Amino acid sequence: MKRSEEVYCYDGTWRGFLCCVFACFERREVPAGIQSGEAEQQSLYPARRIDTDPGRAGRVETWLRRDLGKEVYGLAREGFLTDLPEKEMHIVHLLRLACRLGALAASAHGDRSVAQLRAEVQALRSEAHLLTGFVRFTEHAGVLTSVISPKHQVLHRLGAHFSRRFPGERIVIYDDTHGLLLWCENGRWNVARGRAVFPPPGAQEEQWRALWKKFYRAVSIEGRYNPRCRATHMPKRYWNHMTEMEEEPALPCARRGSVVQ
Amino acid sequence: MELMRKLEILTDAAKYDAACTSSGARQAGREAGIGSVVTGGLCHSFSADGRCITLLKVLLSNACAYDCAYCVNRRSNDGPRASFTPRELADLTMQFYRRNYIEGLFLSSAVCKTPDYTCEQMLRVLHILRREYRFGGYIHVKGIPGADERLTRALGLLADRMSVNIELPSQKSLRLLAPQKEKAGILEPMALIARGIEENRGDVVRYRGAPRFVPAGQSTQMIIGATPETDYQILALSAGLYKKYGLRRVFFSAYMPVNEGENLPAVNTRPPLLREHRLYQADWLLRFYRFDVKEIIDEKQPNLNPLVDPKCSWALRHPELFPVEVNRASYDMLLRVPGVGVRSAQRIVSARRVHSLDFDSLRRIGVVMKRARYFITCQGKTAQKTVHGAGQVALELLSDRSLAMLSGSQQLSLFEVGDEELMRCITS
Repeated sequence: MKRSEEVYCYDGTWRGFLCCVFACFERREVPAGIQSGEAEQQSLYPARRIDTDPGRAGRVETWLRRDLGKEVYGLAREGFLTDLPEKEMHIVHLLRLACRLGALAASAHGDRSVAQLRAEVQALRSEAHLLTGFVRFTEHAGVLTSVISPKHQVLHRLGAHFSRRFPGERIVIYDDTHGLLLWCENGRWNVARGRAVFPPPGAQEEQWRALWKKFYRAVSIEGRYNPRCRATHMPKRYWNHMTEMEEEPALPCARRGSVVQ
Repeated sequence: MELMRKLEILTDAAKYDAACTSSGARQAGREAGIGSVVTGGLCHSFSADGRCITLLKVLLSNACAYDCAYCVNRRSNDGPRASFTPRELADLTMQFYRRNYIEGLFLSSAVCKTPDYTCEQMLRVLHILRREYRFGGYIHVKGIPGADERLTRALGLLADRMSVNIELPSQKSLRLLAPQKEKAGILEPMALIARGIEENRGDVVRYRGAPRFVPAGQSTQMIIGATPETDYQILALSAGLYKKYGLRRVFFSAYMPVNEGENLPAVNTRPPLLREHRLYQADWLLRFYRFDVKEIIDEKQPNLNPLVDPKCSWALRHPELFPVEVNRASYDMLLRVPGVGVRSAQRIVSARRVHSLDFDSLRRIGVVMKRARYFITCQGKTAQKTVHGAGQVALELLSDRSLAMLSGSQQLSLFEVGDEELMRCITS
């Protein structure tokens, strides 16, 4: 494949991106860059608009799912949801590698693109795993609501987890970094663009919160006080949405060597 | 008494139990109105001491009939006493669970009146949760030594995991500090649960819809540092427990001095946290790295080295096996290289099917090169930094924290003495 002097522009959706992949293989070229419409970056290269065509997207998706194996598909699909810069180009590189190696491409740890995608997807999955624990629900008239500020787009993973765990509940989770809403009901879930502002908790809700905070304080052993260890396992960027951390004193500045005494 | 106050007292009384995991259970075959389990476990928060909070860990009651010297809840201690009613505790669990505060319930209890009565009360909580609320989350319940066999079995059919604390690593220490408990009395319910799990394994295969007995297995805990046992005794005992009773986990709990007593360490002693940490590292080697106790530790050097972790310490004692060639070494050998964990070893094995590995790709795979570099070669090459002799390797491997534990003159002497003495200096 030859290098092209053009930048592909698409609408920022997964299907739109699949059409970019289609265009690469159809035109037998690797573009200088792939940009989503939202980014509106100025570039020295001329832009080529790639329209989203469900038929073409479907063909690429089938190829990914059927021929390239679960691992390559997972890397491409979830790599697309990470905040890796130029993720589109890395995924195109991975797919070109997969043309030669098939499913083995996912194990090419030595390849820079594959390694970066793997690392980012790993980061996405571990953030999703942490959040399945750190999400705190507040009940408003029978609906469980929560706000999160994740680095990566993790709502699809939270949706699968919470709809299985609480099949009878109605759940809304708002991702305020990416402006996405997750909606779970009757064991089904969906993610959509949107905004949400939730009312403050009621009196009954405040009681459960107070009990939880009391439990959180009581279960810690004073003789083993270790705030650095806590911050390692539970990074501070999650704290502002966690009920029990509302009145926690800020972490004292950790000095090197202070753990030794 | 108000619920808030009860929760405070009964959490405070339960916090010294180390086991707070929610792993090992499987979702398959569960039908629940609310709740699910995650096989790998899930942490919901971390308390100020850095330990994970995954289950609502409380006692049902702390009004104990026993008088064990090391325990906060002993009869002769003067403190507030409280008990939950089964309904109260079940409701609290459900409300916490719905708000995603917890993964389930960890239910323990002091021996209130008699072991049988205590067991019945616990059974009632589990019954309300599982049958009435159709709760499918994780439940860890403590076996009560001395309770009727049928009660323990009934608990096991409703819980995911059961545990009986062995408390102290030897019969002698037990007699000294917990005169009302007997080693046999503790091992008896443990054996009962192990038997139950074994029988159930057959039933589940034979009968569709057979109830599962303790599907996440059983665990135990022992207190470290209250009595003079060596690390060798402790590890040999836990290896024996894994083998004989099929335990999933043995937890170690650094002794926190809560009581005064002539047979106990003074109240102002600091908990042996580093020792606990090294024991856990050794325990991991036993469970995930295919090590044998004899390889980690022996009677001649019955304690783990506080300065370096047990795996490094093993590697330094076996220079004849290193360096290993990453592109050819077996999986088992890769697991034994310091700085290579289970995950990196698996990745190495899968990556070298595609291309041969150099140091850069090893770093990207996640190998800790700071430790691994002295023990491996890649495509026949060693890492650029050359170090001579096991002694200097040992010095390079010390963490900042371990270095600070040695005084200045000791550090200097590490450079001056010969290799063999150096080794002894560090590994003794």
